[in-house]
Amino acid sequence: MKIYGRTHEELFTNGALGFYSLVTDWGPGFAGGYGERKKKIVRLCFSAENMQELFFAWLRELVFYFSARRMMLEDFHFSFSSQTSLELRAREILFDPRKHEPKIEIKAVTYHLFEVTQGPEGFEATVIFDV
Amino acid sequence: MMSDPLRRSFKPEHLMTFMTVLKKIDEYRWEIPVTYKPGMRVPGMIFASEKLLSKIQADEAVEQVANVAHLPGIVGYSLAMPDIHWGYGFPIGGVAATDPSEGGVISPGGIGFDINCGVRLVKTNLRREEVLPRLRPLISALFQHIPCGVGREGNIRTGRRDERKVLLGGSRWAVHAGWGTNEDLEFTEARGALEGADPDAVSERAYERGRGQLGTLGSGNHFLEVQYVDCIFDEKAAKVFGLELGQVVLMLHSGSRGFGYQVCDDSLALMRRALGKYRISLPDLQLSCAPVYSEEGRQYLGAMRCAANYAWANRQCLTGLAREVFEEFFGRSFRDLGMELIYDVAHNIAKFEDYGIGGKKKTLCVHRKGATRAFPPGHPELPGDYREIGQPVIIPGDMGRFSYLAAGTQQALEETFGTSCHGAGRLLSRHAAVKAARGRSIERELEAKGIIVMARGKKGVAEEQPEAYKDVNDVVDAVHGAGIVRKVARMRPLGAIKG
Repeated sequence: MKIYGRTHEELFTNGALGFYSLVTDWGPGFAGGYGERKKKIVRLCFSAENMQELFFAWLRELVFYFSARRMMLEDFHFSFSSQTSLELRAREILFDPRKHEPKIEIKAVTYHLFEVTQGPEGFEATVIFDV
Repeated sequence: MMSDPLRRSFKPEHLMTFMTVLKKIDEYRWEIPVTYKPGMRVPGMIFASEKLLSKIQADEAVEQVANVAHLPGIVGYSLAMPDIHWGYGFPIGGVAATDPSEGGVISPGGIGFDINCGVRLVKTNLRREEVLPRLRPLISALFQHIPCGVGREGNIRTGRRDERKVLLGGSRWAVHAGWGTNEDLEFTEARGALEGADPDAVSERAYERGRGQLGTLGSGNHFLEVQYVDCIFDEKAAKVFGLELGQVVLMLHSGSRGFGYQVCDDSLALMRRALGKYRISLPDLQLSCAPVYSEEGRQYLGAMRCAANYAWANRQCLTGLAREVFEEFFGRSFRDLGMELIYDVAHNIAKFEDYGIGGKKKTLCVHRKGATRAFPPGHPELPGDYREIGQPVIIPGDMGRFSYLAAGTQQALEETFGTSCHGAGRLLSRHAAVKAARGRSIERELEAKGIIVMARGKKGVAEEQPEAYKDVNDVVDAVHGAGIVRKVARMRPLGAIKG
């Protein structure tokens, strides 16, 4: 998967949206159908050696939340205190497989060909998930 | 650009030079010289025919064999079976033995995310003719009763105390819980449980991810297939394994589910951090590793063994569920139906095994990723009934063609750390397979051949269509030709359930 973002915030948000588009029938209005099922606000903290590793940690978190808890996240509020530290506030949505067909099972994020690059337009990430 | 000094991308020019790089040893052996890439500690060896080699070179698998040769403490060769194809870090179909006494490492990527993914073969005393007229309702009954597909939870619930028992006891736990017999344990690799499992080495996240998944088949290439024996190559061995022409058998392919994926994921992160600590330089971060006798190595081994045991418990529960379906469907007990386990074998695992290296007995850590143990006749780890024949090696093909049962050989013990292939090996990526299936119904194409396939998702069937795989006949001919297994019997599919 290729993920783009003009800013770190956009890259991290698009990483989540890209992941959800792989595992669910995610699209405009998807979360809307879950209005009553929206759950609590979660706060997550990550730290890593560099921004690339931070992005990797974020994707791992998304895989775990979805695979183990059937939870998706939305309404992201990222706070990057440095290139190596991130605090995040987001809203949990319970994925209901009776209403939405899970598409593929993603086992994990891999380091294979994984990279985040920065160009004049912003950031570009390459990630391969193990399915 | 944010880059990691440890990581180097694969270079396309490597792919173009393989034919000039590979040294042909004989019809089935191709060496990658240790000089191919700086940092290789041993040469690579690919077991394949020339025909298969042309397909193998289509992806990065050969490069990955060379990358594995960088692992500290690797012994002999970085090995590849003829079903080798591109994996993450390690190729699928790769084998690497490391010597812990010489700083040898353990690499979670050398086992894979689906720890102890494996296959089991269950015989019946049913004949093909008895099953054919009722094939569709039989496959449908299996499909209804056995949880399969993405996110499908099982009905086998375990409390926290039982979770630990599963991780320590593996198949033994499942048998005690009523999902099998003591004879099943006898015919399971390692009797269905590795010693040294450490439930405290497992993260809370892995426990959480594995909950509700015991007794589920999963998705992807996991399946339960009803097959019949269509060809026998070795009458004596087939008789010992209890097989004859026309006999119906069940083949089951599954692993440690979310539990194993999370154990591997946790461990890769741990190993990634350990690389600097142990000054290990690798061409691919997915090979991240730590010395076997390090804190990180021990922690991974303790957790990996838990996942291996979880997988054996899972396959045992799935066997119990399949037996329930057959009992209900045919109105006879599973014992009356002769539903005995021929063997259960892991193909994603690391184990400690003794080998003679340079005239000395060494205990090596053998990584098998998409590779099957293939121990020879007389090996003490084999069940008494099979001691004369060798270990059953179960080689699933694809759902449209064949699968094989073979037997391990002394040659395998001497050359490949007692290992052979694990299947046909992918030819098309999942994406390419889905693209190739556009406008077609794979289920209908298979039905036209008399094979009934039921799956939760159409995409999964497209990804697993027969054309997505190499011809298993070619793969088995290569391992048989190389002498690392002996062909015993070939099976044809009648029907399958898939995730």
